[in-house]
Amino acid sequence: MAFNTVNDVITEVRTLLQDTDSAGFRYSNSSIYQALNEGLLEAARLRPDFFRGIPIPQYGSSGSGDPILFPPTFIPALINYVCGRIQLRDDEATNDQRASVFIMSFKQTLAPGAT
Amino acid sequence: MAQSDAFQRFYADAALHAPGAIASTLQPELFATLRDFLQKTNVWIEQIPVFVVPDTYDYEIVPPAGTAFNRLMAVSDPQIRTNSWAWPATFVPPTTLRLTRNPTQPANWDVWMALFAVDPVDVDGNPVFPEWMLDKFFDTLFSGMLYRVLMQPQKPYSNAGLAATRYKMYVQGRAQALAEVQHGYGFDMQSWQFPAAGVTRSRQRGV
Repeated sequence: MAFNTVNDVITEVRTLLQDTDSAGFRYSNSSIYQALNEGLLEAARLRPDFFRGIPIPQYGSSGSGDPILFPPTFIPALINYVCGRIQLRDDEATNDQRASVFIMSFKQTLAPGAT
Repeated sequence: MAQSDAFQRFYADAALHAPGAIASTLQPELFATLRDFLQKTNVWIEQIPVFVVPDTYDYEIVPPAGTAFNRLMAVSDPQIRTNSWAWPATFVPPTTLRLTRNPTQPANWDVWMALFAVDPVDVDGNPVFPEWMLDKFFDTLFSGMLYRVLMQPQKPYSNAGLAATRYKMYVQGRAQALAEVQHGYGFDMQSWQFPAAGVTRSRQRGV
């Protein structure tokens, strides 16, 4: 599946989180969009060259069909961040170790050695 | 607007040497490299006509869009061969030609100015400059851009050792370009250029 729109990214996040039952999502759309927006801000901190000359995009559920303004080769890393961010919640379904792996993978892909 | 073939090859080749570097990473480094290259080599020279009259010493000259004047190369008479000084003059940045002797009669002269690229860049984000330079000095500009890219901290492609190697290649290429310009891109030019290899740097007295 190509990652052309914001919805494509959200769909992949839900696949990784095993949260694909649209009749009753475990994680709300608003929480996933929040994590996505935080990932974009984090990416701007680590790689300001990604957003050179453009404002840092921030998305809401109304913009799910919007094109994702992020370098295509780094979208898998962004997806890892969103998954990790969701897993940081204090919830019986979450896993701190898995969250840490997701987030570290994001940081090491964008900026090796970054904290 | 589609990028030209030269730029497409330039950035595609850069991706091989700096995996993970995207266009917005490469373009500012190319801009900085090009500015340094043009300022030090005077490769980009434009001929600007100016009409001089007696009792007027200062003339405003306008650089082409996307460029700035770097250095005055010559003031010549169009009726005579190029690059020979027809009248003594100096350049007062950013845009003033100043004659140092009063012209005796009105005349059309050519002012030869060395240029360098400035903002704004084109719609693709590339600096504005003649693309033949990208073909002729491809390796030099490529090494110059790459050493700056490889010097960036905490990137997947950061590599201080390779950056140093690329810097040496760039400086050497820049020196060769300067020599080419000085000799009018002619064959059988002098075989040395600064820095000169093997030159005597010290002498012992009495030897």
